[in-house]
Amino acid sequence: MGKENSSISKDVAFGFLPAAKKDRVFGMWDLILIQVGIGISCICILTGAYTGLMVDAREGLGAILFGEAFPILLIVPITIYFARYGIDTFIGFRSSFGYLGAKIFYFVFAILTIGYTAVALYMAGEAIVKLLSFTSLPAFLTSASTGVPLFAILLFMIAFAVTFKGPLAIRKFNWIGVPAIAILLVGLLILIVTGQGLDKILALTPAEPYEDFSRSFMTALELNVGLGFSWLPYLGQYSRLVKSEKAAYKATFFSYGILVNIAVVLGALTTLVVGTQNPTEWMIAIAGTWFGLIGLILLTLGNLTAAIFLMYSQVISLKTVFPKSSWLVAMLTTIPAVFLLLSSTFYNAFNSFITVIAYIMSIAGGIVIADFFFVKKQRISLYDLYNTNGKYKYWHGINPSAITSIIIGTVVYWGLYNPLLDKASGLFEYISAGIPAYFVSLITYYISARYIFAYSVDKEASKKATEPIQEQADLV
Amino acid sequence: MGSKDHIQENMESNDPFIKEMYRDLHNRIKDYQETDSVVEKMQFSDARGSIVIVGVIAAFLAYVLLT
Repeated sequence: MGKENSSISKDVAFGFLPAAKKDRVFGMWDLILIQVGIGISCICILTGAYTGLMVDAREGLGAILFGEAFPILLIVPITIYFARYGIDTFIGFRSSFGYLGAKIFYFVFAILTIGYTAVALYMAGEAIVKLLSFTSLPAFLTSASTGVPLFAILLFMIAFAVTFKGPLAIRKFNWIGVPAIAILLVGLLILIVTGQGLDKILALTPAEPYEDFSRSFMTALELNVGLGFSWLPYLGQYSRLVKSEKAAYKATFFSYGILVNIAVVLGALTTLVVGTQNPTEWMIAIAGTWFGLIGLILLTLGNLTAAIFLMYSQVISLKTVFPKSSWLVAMLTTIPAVFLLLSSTFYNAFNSFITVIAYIMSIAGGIVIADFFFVKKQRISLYDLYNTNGKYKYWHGINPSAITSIIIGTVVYWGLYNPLLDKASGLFEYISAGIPAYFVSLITYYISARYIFAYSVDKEASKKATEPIQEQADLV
Repeated sequence: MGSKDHIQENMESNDPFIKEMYRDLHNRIKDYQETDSVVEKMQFSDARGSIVIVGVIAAFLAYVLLT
């Protein structure tokens, strides 16, 4: 256990401290490979699957490519911040949200991660039940209502045990899970394209569109915009370890904005072919019994690994935000995922979940971009990011400009689209909701921080920016 | 500000892990302040490729919706 504890402590210190020059080990291609490996997951597949339920292949491709790339283009400049100072997301966001505000943002991230973990584990549970349906085991184990929650919870326990052991155990597991999901995706893609032919796929109509096309298309676009913005809290994790700001920017754009789309497009095409958004139904339908069974095993392994990665990411980030908390206490914050595994309710509401993420992350994205580029003019005090009694304390640890921005952004998003009831305003069919919410929160934050709640740290930055000598030509 | 310096406070912590981590933090911040930045800064021209790609995707989207 000593070796494991020491590796956990090392990871905590590594995540918490600003990366030194010797820690900057990644070039652009290293970062692309890592982020694509992390990014291609059941979440991308499911987003694509719901897209394929509403629009055809051509429209789906447009919604997916634009829905991922444009939000990433809007938020990717923040990787410059993480790369420049070598800091993780939750340390970096202290300058815009305040010390307490960044902690609250961590809990939002934790809820999001718990949701992702539950989706991955429930899908894995469904895959196991599908596998067992070919055996003569009791109905209790092979029925969706009892078997899926049971196996999903068992897999949660495995993921918990592996994560508890720390990074050494996780790295071993990654050697199985990441190739599993890669083989699955490539295999499915080959089978679909060779089995169906591109012309036939392009002619397929979606199974569950809305009554009018613009509503179907905009809802599909909003799901993908949600996925695009959802990478925001993960952007600092590896960008801080690159050798140049350019590498962080480009690698993040290409990995999360372009390359992970392979999984999303695959999800959309398979749904169009099979007519259901449930990935466990795809395997046998497309690959036949034997290859289908192998596909289900790979899907289970891929999802279990994704759950372990997500769980570790949540726990290590908690330790970065609260370095004095014990590893066990940090691990216990993952337990709420079990409640989401008890029935299919949460899993079946994935489309609502991803649009709620679009709502939260689009507003947060607008705030952090406005703060770093337009209010602070890229001038941040590294000392004060860590000294939690320093310049970024604002009002009791919370930045009132961020709160104002969240309120106005919320009114705009929910006025355009209610993600819980799937109720859209007339305007939603023309401008969607996540992208306008991003711009509104960005502008609101700027006006508020410059003219309404202008703290000395904001005024100092603007004053320094007007000084003529500046050797480096910064972005913006 | 008048409040206690959180970094200095933790550098004197009784927990050896916290104490060592904050001492390391203090040294790293000092190094950063002395060298300004350890990475090469980005220019606006470096972002052109991504803007062009999103422009092409937007044009494709417009084509899909209009035809």
